[in-house]
Amino acid sequence: MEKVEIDDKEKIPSVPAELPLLPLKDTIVYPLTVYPLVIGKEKSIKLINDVTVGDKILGLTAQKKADTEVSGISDIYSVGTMARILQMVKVPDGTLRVLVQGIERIKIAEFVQTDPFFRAKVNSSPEKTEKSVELEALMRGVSEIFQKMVTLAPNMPEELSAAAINIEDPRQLAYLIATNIRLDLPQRQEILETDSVYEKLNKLMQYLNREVEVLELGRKIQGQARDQMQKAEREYLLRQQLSAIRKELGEETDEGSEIKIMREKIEEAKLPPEAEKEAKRELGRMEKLSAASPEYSVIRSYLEWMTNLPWNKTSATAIDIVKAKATLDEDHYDLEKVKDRILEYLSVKKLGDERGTQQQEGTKMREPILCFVGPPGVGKTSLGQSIARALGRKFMRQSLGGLHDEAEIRGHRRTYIGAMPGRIIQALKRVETKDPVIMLDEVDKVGADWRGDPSSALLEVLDPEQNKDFRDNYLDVPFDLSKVMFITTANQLDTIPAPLLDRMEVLHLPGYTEHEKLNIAKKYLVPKEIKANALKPEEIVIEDQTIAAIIKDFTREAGVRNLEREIANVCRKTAKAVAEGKPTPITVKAGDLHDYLGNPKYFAETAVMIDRPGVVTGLAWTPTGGDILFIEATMMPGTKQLTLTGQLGDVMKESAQAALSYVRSQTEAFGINKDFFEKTDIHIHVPAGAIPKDGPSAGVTMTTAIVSMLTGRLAKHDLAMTGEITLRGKVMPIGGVKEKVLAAKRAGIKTIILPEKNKNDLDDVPEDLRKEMEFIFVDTIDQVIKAALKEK
Amino acid sequence: MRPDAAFQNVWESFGSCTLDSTMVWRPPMDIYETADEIIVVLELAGVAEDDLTVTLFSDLLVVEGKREQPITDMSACHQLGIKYGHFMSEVDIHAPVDHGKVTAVYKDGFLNIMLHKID
Repeated sequence: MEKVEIDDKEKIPSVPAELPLLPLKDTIVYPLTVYPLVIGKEKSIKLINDVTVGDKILGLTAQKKADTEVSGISDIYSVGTMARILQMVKVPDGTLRVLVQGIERIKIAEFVQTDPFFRAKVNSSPEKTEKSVELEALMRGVSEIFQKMVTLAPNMPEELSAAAINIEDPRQLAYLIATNIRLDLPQRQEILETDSVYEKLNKLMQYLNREVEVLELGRKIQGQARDQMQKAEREYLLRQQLSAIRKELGEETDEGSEIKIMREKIEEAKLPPEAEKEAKRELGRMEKLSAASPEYSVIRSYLEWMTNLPWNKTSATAIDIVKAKATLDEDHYDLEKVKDRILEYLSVKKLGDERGTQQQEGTKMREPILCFVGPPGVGKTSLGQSIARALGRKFMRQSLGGLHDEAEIRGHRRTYIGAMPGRIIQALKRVETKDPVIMLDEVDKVGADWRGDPSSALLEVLDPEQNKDFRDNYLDVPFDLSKVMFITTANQLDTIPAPLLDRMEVLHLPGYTEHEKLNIAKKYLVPKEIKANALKPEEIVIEDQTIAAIIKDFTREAGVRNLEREIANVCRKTAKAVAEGKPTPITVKAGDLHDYLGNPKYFAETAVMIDRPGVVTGLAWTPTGGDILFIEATMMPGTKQLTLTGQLGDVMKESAQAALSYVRSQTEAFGINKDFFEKTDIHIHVPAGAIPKDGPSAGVTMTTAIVSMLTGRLAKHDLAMTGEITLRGKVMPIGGVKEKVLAAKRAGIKTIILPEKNKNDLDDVPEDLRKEMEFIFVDTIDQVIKAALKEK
Repeated sequence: MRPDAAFQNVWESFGSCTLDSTMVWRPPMDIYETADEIIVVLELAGVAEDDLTVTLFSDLLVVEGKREQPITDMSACHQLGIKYGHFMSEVDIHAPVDHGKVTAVYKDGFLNIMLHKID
């Protein structure tokens, strides 16, 4: 398309010597651009009125500071623009709207008039346009970026782009761009005052680049925000639709209703203040989540736990001591001492509750934790159940054996996947009351490793001062455990940590005598096993002697577990016979036991063992009850060595050395060669070789064995002894008297040598047993030797 | 007419607020086509015929001229709404036309230019 060349010179007005001068605030009008102005100041209005009447040409320049009144030439920039008025309109509020067109750049020399408006002496100030290839290239580049900016900017009409494309004059392009980009006043003025058009365009290029960057970034951010919002909106809409579809199908898994149900549950549960606050807070969080989010199910599990715990439910009836005693007797044979202690505890509790003495601070009685210690099978667990029954409380049993992980007691924090509360809280949920009897079995087998120390967690649980505000990690709110009655059981006390042992009151259940076992079997075990094996009571008769035979020949234990098992065997075989059609009742005689149970497993060992000098029967204590052991001593030629075998512990080894030293110091009294040790080796062995043994109570036994060996005197085979020895020959007291006596009886021992100081311990031994056996109390080892060894 | 509206019109007819100093305004223009002709109509009141030039190039029609303010002697001016000064209109002619047969008639403020199409 051809462009028309027009003679410019006659159409552009020349710059007169003087011009009316209109100062502009924050605005610069460039040559070759059209600009709208709002005229409000009285001075300016007068100027415009004057100019429109005349040739419509005026001078425009910017004020240096927008907030000050122009008083002199220093308040305005000295480079401005000559312009003509194209349009003018008066607005009802008194201002004028004027459209001006910039024509040429001018320099303002000085004011010649300040009232009623400014007039100034002016000079033309043309710019430099050096046509060159660089200028052409720059123009093209600037034009491109300007067009890009117009596309990106939201408030710039696309016509600007078209205009930029059509402009061939670089000066015009520069001024068009300068009018349409964001610049502050000094920057705008600088563009005007720069003489070289090339420089103008260069500067504008920088500004344009910056503008484009900002716009692109803004667009990107907006786009992202829009995407996110759209996504969220879309999800919301889809969920609404899904909910509506569900309702149509009749699947009312409305989240709202679930929240409502949970809220009602929380209200009903009547939680204590802190727990209620926490529950409501979590419920609030749950409301805001959608049902699909994993947090939702975590919170729901938590709230279900919280609402299902028995915060306020108790089941204990008022304590009736008489009824309690009756219940305990009903369930258990003998165990008088233990039952008495339990009844004492219950009586104190009853009185305390009735009289309210427990409310006073400081005098509040600490509820002891009962600890039943004894071998397996003596009835520790059933005693706990019995107590619960007597008190009308729920019973819950938790085995702590092998517990390594502290989190089992304390629970895991909710942040862990699959977190659950600890065992205590779980137990409480199961029994649905907050005052059950909880039996913690095998508290002596609690382990401790890198995962934590469960026994320390137990300290908190079992301490009545602390457990009122027991904090489970999962629940994270205090739970009142003070109404729970804890009972612990253990097989031995050695492995229980001292702080824990301190809190507990230990009750020993040492095991039963044969007589007691017989009674237990008759009253409890036999009827139980008959029922368990689907027999009717009239179909089977087990004689007393049979039971006694089972006890003697087929069991060697402190408890009654194996006895129960053997009775079960008998009943089962009988059931088989009955099922085969044999005539009832079937009587089981002692002589028939071979058919039912096979060969006898245990028999009296002592007569067999003691067949030569140097062997003596002693008594030992193990976690499974008492037991007899044999000390064997032998001598051979050698070089003064003492060998000790049989998996002996250090204490026992020292005991053996003390025994030997005593004998060496007393050779005259015993009638032994005083150099007996010089050319000999002595070996003391304690069978069985695989079982570890320790303790000082075999001291007298060892001494007697050595004397027996050296003098050649046999020990009595139905006699056993126990006692610790000193170098002076004194016999010191030992422990576990009742267990040892029972063990001796089981093994067929008739006479027991005990330290004098253990005389009172015999009170624990049942009277019938005391009558059946002979007890010799000794102070010195001489008495022991005299009683134990036969004459040569 | 409300003053703002008057201003809007001004804005639109000045297009992209840039003009070179030679051209101040653009007259409104219609372009029609019939079976035989292309007709261009410009609204050009107040332009003296001597001040008006119509030129047909190979595919471009250019109309230029100037409009003088009729009354210049006044004590006050309350509104300047009519466009005065130099103007130029350019029209691209897409169909082949007979350069010898071009007529222009200026009557009642309208300038009608008829161009005969060549088949």
